[in-house]
Amino acid sequence: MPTTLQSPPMAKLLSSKNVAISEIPAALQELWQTNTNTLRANTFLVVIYEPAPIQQLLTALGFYDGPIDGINGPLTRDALAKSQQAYELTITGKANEVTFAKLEEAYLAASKQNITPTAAEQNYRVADAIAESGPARIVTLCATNSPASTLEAQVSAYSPIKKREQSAMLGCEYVMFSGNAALLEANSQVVQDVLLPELPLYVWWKGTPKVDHTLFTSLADRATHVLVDSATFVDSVLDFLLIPPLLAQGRSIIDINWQRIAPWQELTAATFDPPERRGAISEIDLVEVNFERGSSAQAWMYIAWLAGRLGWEPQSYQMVGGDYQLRQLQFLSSDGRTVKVELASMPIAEVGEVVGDLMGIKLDSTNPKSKCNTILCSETAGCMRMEAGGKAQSGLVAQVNSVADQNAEQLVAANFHRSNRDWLYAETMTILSQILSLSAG
Amino acid sequence: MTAILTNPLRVGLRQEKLPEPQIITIFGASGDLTQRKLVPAIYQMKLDRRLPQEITVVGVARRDWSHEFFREHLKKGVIEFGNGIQSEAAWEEFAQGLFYCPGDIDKPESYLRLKAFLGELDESRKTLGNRVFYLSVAPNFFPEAIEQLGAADMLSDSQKQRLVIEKPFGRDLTSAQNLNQVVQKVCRENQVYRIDHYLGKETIQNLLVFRFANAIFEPLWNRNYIDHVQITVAETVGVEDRAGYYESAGALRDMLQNHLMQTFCLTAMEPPNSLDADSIRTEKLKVLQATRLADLQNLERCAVRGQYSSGWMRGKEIPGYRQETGVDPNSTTPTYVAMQFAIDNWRWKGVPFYLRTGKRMPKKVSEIAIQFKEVPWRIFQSAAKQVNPNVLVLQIHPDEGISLQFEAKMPGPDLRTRTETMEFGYDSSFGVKSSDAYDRLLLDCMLGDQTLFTRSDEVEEAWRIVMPALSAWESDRNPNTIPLYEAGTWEPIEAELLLNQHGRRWRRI
Repeated sequence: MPTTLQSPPMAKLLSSKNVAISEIPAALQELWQTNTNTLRANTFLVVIYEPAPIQQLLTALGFYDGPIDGINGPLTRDALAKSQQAYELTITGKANEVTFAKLEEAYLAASKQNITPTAAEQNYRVADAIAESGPARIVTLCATNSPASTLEAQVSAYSPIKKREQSAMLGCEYVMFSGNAALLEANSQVVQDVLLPELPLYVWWKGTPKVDHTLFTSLADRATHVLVDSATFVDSVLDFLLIPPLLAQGRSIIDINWQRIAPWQELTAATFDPPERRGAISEIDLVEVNFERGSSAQAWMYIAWLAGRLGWEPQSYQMVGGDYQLRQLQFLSSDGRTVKVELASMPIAEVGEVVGDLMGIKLDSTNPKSKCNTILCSETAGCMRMEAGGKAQSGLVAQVNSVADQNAEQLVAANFHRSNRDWLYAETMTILSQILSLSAG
Repeated sequence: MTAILTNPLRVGLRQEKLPEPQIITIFGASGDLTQRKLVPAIYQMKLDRRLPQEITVVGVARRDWSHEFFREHLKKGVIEFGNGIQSEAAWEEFAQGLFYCPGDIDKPESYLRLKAFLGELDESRKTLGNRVFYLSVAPNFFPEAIEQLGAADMLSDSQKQRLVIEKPFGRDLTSAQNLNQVVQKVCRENQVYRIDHYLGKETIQNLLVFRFANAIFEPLWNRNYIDHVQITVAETVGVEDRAGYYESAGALRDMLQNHLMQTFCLTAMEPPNSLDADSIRTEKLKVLQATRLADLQNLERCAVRGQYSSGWMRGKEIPGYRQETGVDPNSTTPTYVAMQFAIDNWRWKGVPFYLRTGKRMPKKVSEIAIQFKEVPWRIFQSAAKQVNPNVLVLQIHPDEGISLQFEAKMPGPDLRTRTETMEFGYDSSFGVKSSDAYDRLLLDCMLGDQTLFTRSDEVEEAWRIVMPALSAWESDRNPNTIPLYEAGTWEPIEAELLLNQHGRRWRRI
């Protein structure tokens, strides 16, 4: 049975309150003076860029009373489910378009009637992986659709209660800025000003990196790592092409979706660990990759990784289409063989928390005597489609079982204390942009 | 194992933490360990991109060497004893971070000069004040060096400054306690890394994985199913050129009190709460606290020493221990020790643990063998007419791996059984040789992970267990009372009796 990760309880030190931008330092100062048994953690800073202001809407409408931090944790999901129940929508606990539209509508209606709903004063129950990792300050940037011309700011503070004995509680400050995108962009200096200069900074940029915006570049220059999730990219192909220039400029980009394919990479590598299979690795020239419809990002990264590791040169790429929206690729191996790759997007009924998860990998050879035949498949999909073709008997079949859902928050939090750069990711991104440029040309 | 190409898919997959930039200061840097082991290991880690650019090594020793001479000396070491230079450019870059600072271990001014030098390097190498002090000197210099480091205020920052010492940690309980007191006076326990390179071995770490990542073995891991446990570390070599050290140490101090004891701890300990250093070390301490020599009233029934006499190995005549150069002709130093431990706790009450180690044995082999109880009633006949209880062997050397002996039916109409083994080998499954323990331990120390290092209370507890035998043997200087065994044989007869008295036998391996 999969284990679930439990978050520690949180103590609320300061309920959310609106403050003028110039008063943020004073408001935080006051907080630590009134809570003398709690110290601000002297650790690191997190900036979260949130393009969809779901928590704000939920708070304003009274469904949510946790911190506005852009983190889609258990509290947010509970709140979403509550709102969906209230508006008689399908209860999923996920922020789908219908829910979002309904919330905005309700919010507009409420503000017209001049009712300003306040968040209920309840004890904060569950925290999330990011708060548990003990940052000193979480700064959330919420891009809204509001036409207002001034940036809004809120501060609050919480303290995760840890099992380990500590002489004093360590608290985390939350600062939230909201305004429309242009307003945030114009105020990138204000954001910089709340980033304590002596602490390392991690930026979680939800959505596509805005490489030509000062807000993004100024944060990326200051940050130890910028974390993105390519599963949420609007256009996998175009957005991936943004990454290599950023890496070349010396910025550290970590794609948490890249870390989601780690089990597939590990198992692929493991099947060629035994010496008797090792030699067969150079025989691979037929590859099939199946993935959940919705995002092709994981499939692209997997194939670019494989090509980079096995020294394949990208030759051609074409979209074939059809029921599986087939994409066909050709590579040239270093010993001059043609390698054919097919990416198939599978329609599935229940999309999990992450879209575009890999579902199956088949490595095969045109040489019928080769020992490289390998089938990897996820537990949700099974290996049926991959096993078709009659070679299952001679191949090695393995199942990829992830212990826990690799949700974005846990993956992001796991990266906070990493200091080295992932050269394998950089290599893969270079190959990937070569492949993707083939389609552009 | 024949060389096979590296698995290209494996490269870069391992996501390891990178240590912070830091300076490793090695005391006794003119010695063999630095040239043959430490620096080649550091260089290889650098090539594998497991160390930051800024990594800096400073050698300290009495000889008056220049930085350049030191670099050349180390380069020779990497070529001869490491994996070679591989890339001239990489070596040049690495060599820029190698420095030598002459100094005397007992002179305060040497430490002040070193401190100033490290301060300069912090500036030029951007090492942020992070330091590892590695004492690669004779153990009798440990207290002096540690006190001097403390006096020069070089160990006061418990986050940034670390101290590495190698075994032996004392030569008996009292001296171990004294050493620990010296250490505790100048720094905190979380700064001290006591290296026992056995803990860096893959099989030893795999023991934890085997026991606590599998649900099927742990239910059997107790007095209800296990008859007894044998831990063997046998060497074929004699005393070699280490007579000076070995004469004052012997097999008990050199091997059993540390390597075998650590192996024993991991085999017998309770499940730790988590994988962090103190959880594991607390469990190790707990099991040590419950352990004693099996029969304290009759020491000869639970502790046997031995010394090799001349004999034949591989067609060559081998001198006895007392004939080796540098050894006292009346020496009573044991080259072989066998002990029976008893553990007074719920899991192990009544299960004997037999430990043995010796030099000039027929084979170089190390293993942990868990022998299970026999079936209650034998309904099948063994073809070889033998009793064959199930044995689980965790092999440390050679061919690291795990095997399980079980009974299988022989082909044919009769229901007759034969002993077969299920085997797992590191080589054949992972296709890689397990790495040298040194690099792993050095890296852990730089990362600040103490899991694989021994804590002071563990060291003291391990000494406490063997002290009755140690003091009895040390007080008996009569060269005729120490049992002898011929070089190239397994043990003195007394050691056989240690098991035979309970109707058991040493495994023939």
